[in-house]
Amino acid sequence: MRRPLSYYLRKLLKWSALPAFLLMAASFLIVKYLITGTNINASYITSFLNTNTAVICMSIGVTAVILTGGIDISLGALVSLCNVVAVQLMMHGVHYLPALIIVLLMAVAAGAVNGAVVSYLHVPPLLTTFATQTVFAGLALTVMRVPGGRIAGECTSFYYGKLFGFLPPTILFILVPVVIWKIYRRSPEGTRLYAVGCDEGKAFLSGINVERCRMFAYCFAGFCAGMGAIAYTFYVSAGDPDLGNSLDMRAISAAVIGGVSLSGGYGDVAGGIFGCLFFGMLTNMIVSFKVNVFTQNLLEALILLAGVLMAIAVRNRSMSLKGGLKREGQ
Amino acid sequence: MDRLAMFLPSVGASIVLIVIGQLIVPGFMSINNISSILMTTGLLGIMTIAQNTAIMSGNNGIDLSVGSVASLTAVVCPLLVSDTVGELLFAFLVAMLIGVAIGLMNSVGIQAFRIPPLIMTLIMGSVVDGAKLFVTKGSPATRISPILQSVSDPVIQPFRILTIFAVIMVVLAELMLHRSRFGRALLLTGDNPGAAAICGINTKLVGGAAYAISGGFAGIMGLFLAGYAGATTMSMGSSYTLLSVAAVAIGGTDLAGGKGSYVSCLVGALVLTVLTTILQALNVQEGVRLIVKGLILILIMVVNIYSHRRKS
Repeated sequence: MRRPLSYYLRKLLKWSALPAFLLMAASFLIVKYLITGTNINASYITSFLNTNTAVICMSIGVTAVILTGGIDISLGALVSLCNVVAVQLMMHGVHYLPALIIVLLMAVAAGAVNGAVVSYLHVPPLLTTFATQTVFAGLALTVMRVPGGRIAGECTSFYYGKLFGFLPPTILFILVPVVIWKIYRRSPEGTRLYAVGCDEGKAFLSGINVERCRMFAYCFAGFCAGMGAIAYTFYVSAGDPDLGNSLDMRAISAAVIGGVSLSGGYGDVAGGIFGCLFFGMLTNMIVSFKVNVFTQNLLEALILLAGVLMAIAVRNRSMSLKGGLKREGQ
Repeated sequence: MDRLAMFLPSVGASIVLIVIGQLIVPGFMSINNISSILMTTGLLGIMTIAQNTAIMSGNNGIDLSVGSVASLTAVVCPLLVSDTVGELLFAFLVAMLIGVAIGLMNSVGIQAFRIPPLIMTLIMGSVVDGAKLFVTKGSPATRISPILQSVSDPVIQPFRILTIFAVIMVVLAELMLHRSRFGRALLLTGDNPGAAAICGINTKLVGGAAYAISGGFAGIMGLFLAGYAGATTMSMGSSYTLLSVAAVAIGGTDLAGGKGSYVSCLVGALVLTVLTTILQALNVQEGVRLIVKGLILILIMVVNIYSHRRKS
């Protein structure tokens, strides 16, 4: 069935990730045309993705959690934990494949702990994940007290090689969570997850297993953090118990720029990815401005604030156009 | 009765922790240790006044910029004090005004642009951190004047100046909450903004004022933190952000807003301080300490939630 062009246009305008996409495109264009001395080519994009894969994975995971009306600030510490565990396992002679599988399982289990405390013990998500963040950070410090170690050579050569001759392998770590999410989203469970975020009470009354949806979201977030941690570990080739600190806040900000509503039920993982790319480009841009190093952070934060203002203003408009969705924070 | 029940988990947890501390840490009940616990509680207590005000104002209120504000004033304001009390008062005023100004910016974002408080204050926190680097060029105040350090002088052991100041502030805030027009408006706005607006309360003004108050107390806390520590580091206040949220939650404040007590939050701060003190005295690795701390936090939260759910 052919639909008129205006149908797709309207659908595009209502897309929750549109502001983030525009911000990303704008930052790319600015770097490409207005800033001299950088040329965007394959190697630039590869290194750009390499630095940002961990945050992108985390923002995919945290978006799923935010969609259920929760939040997860433990993912940064979880990334550090996965990183040091992976490095320690490989240092102790474990083959890299089983080591990576163990790390992924551990990440999912950590997410399951978050999910269980939030959905079965009814502790508010922010507090739960603050407490588990402390636990994960403690575990990471216990596993490895000072930065160091190295990973199997195969991993490094895989990461810095080419996939099918042209793709940077880091794409794989973003693609797997995205594909899992897309499959889940298409299934009835995916719709239920959005329903839980929109109105938990009504979802419960409609016979939706609210706890199961929550559990999936937190486990998925753990899995994404695990994938991000593996990519990051391959990238830096060493262990550091503080590796992921502060990445979670970046991921959450990126998800919000990406149009997800913090009260749940509205948004898309694509937005978080665009948000992260915007974030990364922003950092590159500020660095290439060659301003004083003490001014960089302030400038970056201010541009970020402006980006959030814009994204939220656009979203508030499109949400009030839709009318049916509840407003932010009510 | 309802207000008494709010105190139950925090008071219970602090008694249990103090008993445990006395049992396993030698010298736990010594006058010096008690004095230092009370003082650290006072510092965190000032922060809980800030955080509690923001959280009680509702609309999923939270202020994640308090730690950055405190770091900023801790780094900048000691420069204003050399050796007179007048300068100390001036620095106090400046610290408060810096905090209020940042709080007002938060309010504008939250009320006018309808940015969720979590994100607005989070990003404001990084703006403040950036501003701090910009102003100080990466080198914090090197010398903390003796007059500022005297906030940790004892008045009557085990109470030090800072402890007494914090308690007075908390009592005043509690009186403000229950006896003043603004306090009632704050609680009602947090509980049900729609109903509050119908009652003729300017909910935007009340919500906005909450973040200004929050910023102001965070600013004051930063100055005292510098005086207490006797030295400054670039981000010395940052760990207090989530600690204050945890203390407020242990104190029985509903994170959805509209219900809470400053005194109870001070007891929540006591719980966290005693917990930290015990863990530090235990002479174990930092990693193990963090694990135990996180697990106990979860335990306290779960008990807290269940003692509230039983009633409703």
